[in-house]
Parts: sequence; C-alpha cells; structure tokens
Amino acid sequence: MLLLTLFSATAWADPVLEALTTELDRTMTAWEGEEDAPYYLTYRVNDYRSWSVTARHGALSSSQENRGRILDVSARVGSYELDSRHAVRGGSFSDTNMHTGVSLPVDASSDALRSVIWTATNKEISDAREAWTQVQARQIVRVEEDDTSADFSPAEAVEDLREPAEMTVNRAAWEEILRELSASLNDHPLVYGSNASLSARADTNYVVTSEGTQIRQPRTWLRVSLYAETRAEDGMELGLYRWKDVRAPDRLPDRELLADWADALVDDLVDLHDAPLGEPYSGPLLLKGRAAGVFVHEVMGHRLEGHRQKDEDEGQTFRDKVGEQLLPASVTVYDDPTLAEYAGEDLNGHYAYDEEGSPAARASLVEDGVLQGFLMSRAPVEGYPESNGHGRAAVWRLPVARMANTILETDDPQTYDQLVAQMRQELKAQDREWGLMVDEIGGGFTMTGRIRPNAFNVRATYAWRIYADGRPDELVRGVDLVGTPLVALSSVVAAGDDPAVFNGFCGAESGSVPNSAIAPTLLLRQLEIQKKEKDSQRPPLMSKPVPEGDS
Amino acid sequence: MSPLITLLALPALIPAASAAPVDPVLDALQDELNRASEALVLDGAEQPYYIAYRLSDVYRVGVTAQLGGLIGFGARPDRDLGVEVRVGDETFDNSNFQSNRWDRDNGFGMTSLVVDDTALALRHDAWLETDTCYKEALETLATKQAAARRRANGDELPDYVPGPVQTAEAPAEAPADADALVEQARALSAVFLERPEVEHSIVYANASAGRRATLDSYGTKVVEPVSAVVIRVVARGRSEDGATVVDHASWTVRTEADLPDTAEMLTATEAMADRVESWRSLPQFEDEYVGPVLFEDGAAIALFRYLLLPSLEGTPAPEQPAQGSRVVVFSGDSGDGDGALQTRRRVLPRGFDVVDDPMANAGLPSAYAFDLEGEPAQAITLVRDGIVRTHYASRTPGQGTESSNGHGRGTISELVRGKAAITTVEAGRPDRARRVRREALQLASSYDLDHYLVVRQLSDPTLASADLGAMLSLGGGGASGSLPPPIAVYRVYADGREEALRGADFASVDVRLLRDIVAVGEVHTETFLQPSGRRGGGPTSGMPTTLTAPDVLISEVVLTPSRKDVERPPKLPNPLADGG
Repeated sequence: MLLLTLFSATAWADPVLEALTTELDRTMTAWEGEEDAPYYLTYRVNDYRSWSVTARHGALSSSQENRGRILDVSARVGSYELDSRHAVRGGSFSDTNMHTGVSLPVDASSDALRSVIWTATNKEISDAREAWTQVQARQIVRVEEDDTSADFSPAEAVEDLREPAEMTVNRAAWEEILRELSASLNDHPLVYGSNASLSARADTNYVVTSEGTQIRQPRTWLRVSLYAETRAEDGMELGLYRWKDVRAPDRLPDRELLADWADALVDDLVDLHDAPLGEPYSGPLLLKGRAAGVFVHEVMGHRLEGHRQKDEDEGQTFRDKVGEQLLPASVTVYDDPTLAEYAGEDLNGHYAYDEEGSPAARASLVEDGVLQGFLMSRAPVEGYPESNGHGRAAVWRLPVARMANTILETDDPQTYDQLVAQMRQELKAQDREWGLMVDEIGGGFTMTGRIRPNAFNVRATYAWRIYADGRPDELVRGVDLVGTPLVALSSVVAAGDDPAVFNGFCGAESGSVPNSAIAPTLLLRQLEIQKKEKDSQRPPLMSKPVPEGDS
Repeated sequence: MSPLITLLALPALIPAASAAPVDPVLDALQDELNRASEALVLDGAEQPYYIAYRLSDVYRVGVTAQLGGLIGFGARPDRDLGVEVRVGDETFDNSNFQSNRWDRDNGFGMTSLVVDDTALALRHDAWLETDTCYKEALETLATKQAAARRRANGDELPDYVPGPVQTAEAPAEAPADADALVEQARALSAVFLERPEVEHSIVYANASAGRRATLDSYGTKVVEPVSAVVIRVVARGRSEDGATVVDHASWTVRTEADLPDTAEMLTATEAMADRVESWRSLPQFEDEYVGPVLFEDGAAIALFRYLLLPSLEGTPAPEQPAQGSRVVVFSGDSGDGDGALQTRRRVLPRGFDVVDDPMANAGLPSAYAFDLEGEPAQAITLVRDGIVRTHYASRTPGQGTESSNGHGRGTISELVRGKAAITTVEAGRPDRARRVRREALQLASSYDLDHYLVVRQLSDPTLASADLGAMLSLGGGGASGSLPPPIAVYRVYADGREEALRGADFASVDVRLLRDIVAVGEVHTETFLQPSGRRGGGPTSGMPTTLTAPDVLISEVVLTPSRKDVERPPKLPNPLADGG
C-alpha cells in the first residue's frame, strides 16, 4: 500500500525542516495501526544565535556569542478526547510539563539531524505510552471530573515558512558603552554591586505536526539593562533594575540616554538607601505605570489561563464568573500577541503562531468591566473548545495557555493629578493620614492553586507616601503588595491616561516565556502592604576600594 | 566569533627574585589582600588570622560535536578568584566543618573576576567576596565551637599547619587553538555517520590554558602555569533486548601538541565504535561468578583509581555537629576523606610500593611545581611493601600526616584537600603473560571452574548522562571506594579461547580486594579527570590525575548479573542505516 506522506510537496532548502518532516512522516507511518500508537506527534525546534555582554565597575566581565539548536518532541497516545497528556489530579513530579528535548547540531546534514531526532522520538513515544497506561488506570480509580471536555483540540494544517531570523550585534561597540555605563553606576560609595549588560537573541522557531502543520517564524529581541544594589544599615538588600527590550538593534537607547539612566538609577538607589522602612498598611493605593501592568498580570492574567479552569487542583477563581462585572465599566482587558508595538514600545509578547502552531489572535478577556472569556491553548475547557493562539511554552515544556501582550485600557482616562486628587478624597473619607503610590516594581508572583492561599505578591521597589493634606510625597522602602484577586480587582476605581509597557519574562509550568503587560496608572480603594523579606547581613565592613590617591 | 584573546594577561618568564613585574591582576589582588589583612574586622569579633586568594586565570575552549556538526562552541577568557578566610587560630578555626552551603565550605568562597585588567574592578570583586567569607567564617567558628562543647571525643589535631612562605612565578601556558579543536571534534564525530548501529554519539573537546596563583596573608605568592586538553568520544549502543552500553575513547593531555595525530585518534574512535557494535550481540552474563579475575588495560587503571586512590587521601572528612545537635548542615558532601586507610595498615600485597611525584613529568596536565596552597610539590611514598606509610596531604593535617606534602588540590571555592597527582603503583618485575594465565587457571580450578574472567574496561560513571541525551548532562563524579561495572567480561579457557559476555556487575567490592592480588602483568599509564570538589565532575571537568599501574590478577572476585531495568529497543532503525 502506498501511504500518503504529510509533507510531499515541499522543496527542501532547509535541512532542519527536511529532517523534521521526513522523520515525523516515517515515525507516524511506522506506528500506523499499532496498539497504543501516537495519534499526534509534534516537533519544535528553536534555532538561535545569542549575544551577551556584561560589564561591572568599569570593566568587562563577559562577552559571548552563542549558536544552538534545540529540539523538543511531544507525542500524544490515545485520542483527542482522552490522551496521555490528560492532567492527573494529585499527580506527582513526573506528571509535570517537562518532556523530551535534545540539542541538534547546527551545521550537520539532514541525515545526521534525523538520527538525533530519531533518538529523541523513541524516548518521547516510550514516555507517552507509559503515561497513557497510567491515565487509563487512573480514569477507572478516580471519581468523574467536573470538566469532561476533551484533552486536545484538532487543528487545521497551517503552512507558513517565513525567512529565518537575521540580526547582527556589534559586540565590540557595546563592550565600550557598557564599560562606561558600569563605571558610572559604580561611582558612588554606597553602590556595592552593579552591572550594565546587553542580551540579544535571534531565534528561528519551527513547529511541525503530524496534522500537517509546518511553521517557521523568526523572532529577534534585545535588552539593555542597568542594575545597582546596596544594603541598608538594617541589612535589607536594595536593588534597582532599569531595562529596555526592543526587537532590533537600532531601536536600543543611545549612549547619552543610557548615561542619564545610569545617573538617575544611582540617585534613586541612594534615596532608597536613606528612605525610612515602610510599614504594614491597608488602604488606598496608586499603581503607577508599569507597576499597574504587573498587577493586572499577576492578579487577573494568570487566573484567566484556560487550563486552570479545568485543573481541579487550581483555585478556578474566574471559572464561573463569565458575564459578571469584575472591573469598572470603563475598563477593557484583552491579550493580543499579534501586536508588535504599543504606544511606540516594542512588545515582548508578539508572535504570529504559538508553540502549538495555532495562529496568534486577540483574546477578549474583559469588556466594559465584564468578564468575557479565557486565554486558550489547544487544551479545551467546557464552553471553550478551541485555541485562541495562546498555547505557549519554553523549550522542553508542554505548552499551556499563557499570556502574551496583556493590555488594560479605559475609555474614561484620568490625568495623574486627577487620580491623586481622587486618592486624597478617598484618604479623607477613610480618615487616613497618607496612602501609597507604587512607582516601580521588581516583578511578582501569584499562587493559583487550592492548597495554598489563592493570593498574589507584587514586589514594589520604589514606593511613595502621598499625604492627604498635600504635604510633599515621601519615599519608603521595603514593601510588597499582597492580596487576593477578587477583592483586589473590585477595589479598582479609576484608571489613568498614561499607559505604560512592562516587558518581561513570565515563569510558570510551561517555563519562562516573553510577555508584556500594559496598563495605565490605576487607583485602588484598598490594598494591603506587607513588609518585604530582609537579610540579616551587615553591609560590607570595609569601604569599597578606590583608585590610588583617592583614599 | 572572535576570541577575546588579548584580554588574557600572559606574564613573561621572570625570576621570582627580580624586581616586581607589572601584573595588573596580581597587583590588584595583592593590594586588596593587604587591605583586608590589615583592616577587615567586625566590631567585637576577631580579625582573620589568615586570608588566601587563589586565582584561576585561563582561556577556555569548549566544543561539543555530533555526527559531523557542532552542538556547542565557546571560547573565552575565564577568571575566577577563590577566597579563604580563617578566623580563630591554627589550632582551632572555622575550616573543615560541615557546611550549610551545597557549593562551598563556610569561609571559603569563589567569585568571578572581570576579564579586563582594570585594577579597581578586580579589587571590587575581591573586596565583596572577602567580606562575605569573613562573615561566614565568624559564624562557622561559633557553630564549630558550640559543637566542640557538646562533643565528648574531640580530636587533638590542629586545623591548619602552614609551610614556609613561598614566592615563585612561572609563565602562563598559551591558549589552545580553538579552530583546530573544532575541526578535530567534527572529524571524530563524523565517524558515526557511517555507524548506524550506534544509537547515540557525542564528542567533547575542551581546553583550558593559562595560570593559577596563590597569594596569602603570610606572604606566599606563587604563580603556576596550567593547561589541559580533554577530548572524549562517547558512543551508546543498544542490544536487541534493550540493554545499553556507553563506551568512550578519551585523551587527556597538557597541550594540543601532545595529542596523537588525527589519523590515530580516528583509528581509536573506529575501534571503539567496533566495540560498541559487537557488544550489542554479546551473550548476557547470567550466573554469579566467584573466582579469579584478571584486570587488564583500562580496567587495571580503574581498579586502582576507584579503590586505592580514595583510601590514601589524608585530609579528614568535614567535622559534623555532635549527634543530637540542633545545628542544621548540608548533607550532600562528596564523602572526601571518609575512606582513608590508617597508616601502618596493609593495603596491597608484599612487594608493592605506591609513589606520587607531581613533578615526575612536566609534560603531563597533572604536573605542578606548587600545589593549590602554594606548597612545593613533593615526591612521596604512600605505600611501601604493601603497607600504608603516608597519605596525600594538604595543610589540613590528618591522622598520620602532620603537615602538607605538596598534594593540596581541588577547587578554589572549597577547602584544599590532599589528592593524587602523578601516582605510580610499583610491583617489581611483571610476571610473564603465560605465567599469569597459568596462575589464573590454577586458581579457577580450585573453584571447580574451567575458565577465569578477564576485565579490560570499566564503565565511566561521568558518562551516565549519555543515556539521557546530549543536553541533559547531570554530571556525577563516580563512586568513591567502589567499582563501576565492567563494560564486558571475557571468559578465558585453558586453550586460550575467549568468550565475551555483557551485563556483569561487581558484588561487594572494596579496597580490601587489592590485598588479594596474586600476579601482575604489563604496566599502563593513563591520565583522567578526578572530581575536584563536592559537586562531582562531568565528562570533561575535574583535576587531571595520572596513574601508572600494572595488570593484576586477583584471586577471588564476585560478579553477578546486572539487575538494571532496560527499555524496549526502538521500533524504527536509525535513519543513518540503509533504507532507514
């Protein structure tokens, strides 16, 4: 019998694609008709070139350029309805999203690549068959699940082969710039540690599936960053990090702007070192700029990831709240990976296809303050049978629904001064002397499961007391924002006219993926502040070394 | 990629007694060491009585190749500083106490240094690490004092016995040619394009060259050249029943010029691939064997490497809090020093000597003139006439080794320990092969056997990751005091016929096995990598160590069938096979 191959018409100019498709075809053909054969097989390859330059104290600490190719294999045994990836309630570590991955040679022949792919595929299929046996057994032993939707949704084959990523980075020029910047950062006796660095990647990502999908898409990314740290007299480590993510070298800030950033960062750090320690508090809060974006990401975004609505170990905060008012009627929230820019800023969460080969699409999450739906991968949830292009993963992880470019907008924007005035009114109404404004955050985390409290923590690095009586604002250090999602969202009363982009990387069960969180300043009626953890170490005992003659 | 070779400081050859040369790296470190020695003190606490800086200043090249292509490549300068801070006094200080850190001893740390020769930046890195180590040292000393108060049976040994102040400088070794290593790795890995029966293969080619230096607050300043080139060709085969074998061809030399020519390396790689292929169809070792075993070639070296060397390491294991103590410590120590045999105990039969001389051959990567503590290397006799006389010793004394004998080795982030460098097991004149065989058959007959066993190669525990794929390298330094399983064993019959078997494992083996050596044969020399710290070692990391030892016949060894579960073989043939 002549078997139809999945990829018969392709002309092979790309040895990676040739090896992936040939081996995928051969494997699926060989298993056809066998008991417990994989019904779905996918290969992902991340072919990358990366650059990294770091300087500290005016000297280069490393300068590297790397090239690599990483293969990720994922097989599913069973059927779309129930398969070897079925989430196991109370599963063990081996049930997590880790799976098979290996390095591929960057310059070997297609046959050589196929041999490496073959080895990895053998292991993945063995793992999937073993997992399938476990899934079947557990289906018998455990009670019926709340959500009985399928494990995986079929998808139309997509063929989109874009040009591989092209980028050059002038490492020598950046070595000089970063040396200079790092010298500026170090030019204060209170700065104990600091660095200036440039990271860059040019990725060409492949997705090939047994459904016939073939995708090759480029991604380029660069980050220039400055960091400085000190230690307060009470032992608290204080660090400030400023960075800019862009998609092309010519969009990076120039030397003069970076020099200004370095000066400002040191000034801010010294101010922070001298600032009084914040204290536990619950009351009105202004989340400015990028801090508001991270708040939306941690408090709401993670809880709208589709697979969490199905997983019975998850808190499922919003599962039954579609159609309910969560935010003021002026507010809209959506996630749109098709956007490459917002307000002139490059967005980290931009892509054309997700890691499952689904086309990126805008997912409407909140309209007029009312919850609309979820971020979806190809793992269906009751009422949401299809992906909306948010199946994302780092290499060697299984994709799940993740945020990309999460955006909160308002159709009733207030100026910052209006928001401050509104906050002062709220302070007076609550009979409080002062409230807090958080200007800068270092990230955050959230717990979405049932075993631990369903809470979030957003780490403020730069916060100010705003006094009800109009006294000048006062900087404080060492505070984190904490709370639970429903209470926090219901506290949002107004939004500003100053949307800001937070570009970062988010870590969750499918690994670290690039994303963006965008929001204007938000005014909350009430949020809780707790003291930040602190080390018990003293500051360095001797003064930092100085050039000869300066001591 | 253009290597940043100009950033590596390569000092000229300068006699130690001449005017001080301009060396921005060492000068900056010396300045910071002097400053810390004078001024580093916490109010109400004692100053360090000793501070040492250990610099590793090398250019590294790392290549990984598979089937003719590159998986990974890196070439860069690499500068690290190890810092040792001791508080208390030489009798009782913070050292060698079980750490609560997985990657370092308390009071002993490491930081990377900037690769530019910028004095202020170098001093900044050293300043912060010294500060951290000092605070750790103070806390550890307090904990160790508390433990000593609780303990009924304290030892009488001092914690630190320094030797005379040393000053010496030698020029750094030149960096390896990265392009040449890349081509070599590619060529060796391409052998497997024609070997579809080999399921997985990988080639590692690593080189590091430059210098290391030890500066201390007692005045020692020693600069020692370092260089090592390691090439490892690793292949995995799978039998029809799913069992796997991981074999290798390896070279550990001082410089690229010391490598065999490419043709010879290709021949060795082909021979190894032949072994893997033929191993796949060997019959399985099925019944327990008790009787004589002849350890030949690499197996003879491995026998002494895994059983003898650890039993001669004299630095005591880190002290633990007394039983019942509330002090929580890290429990993942490498076990260094746990298995040392006491002096005046028999470890080998009469007539055997074991010597170590780190300067025996300056062309080896394991050679040095000064150890990591700045002590001059010494030739030592560890075993004479089969009896342990001394141990590999550092400045931390142990039972029977009151002071260093120039064997302080290890990693710069931890306490320096006594380790082998260039060790020779001497057993007088080798027996003729025919006599060894006759002796083996006679011994076998007393066990009612018509054959004896020969083992020629043991598996290498650092290559265990080859079973998981190239990127999932988990390291692993190899068991201390036990023997890894043989790759194959050979039954040898009276008529000289050999029958190879796979799937055997040693049962209950320890160093006492060496006392049962009854004959010796041809002598071999091998340089390999020993784990240098508590983190163990990967396929290309560790301290180069050279061992010379004869083939040996041991009167009684027990081997059992391997009990390892195996996976089913792949459904499809390797695509490299015809028709794949």
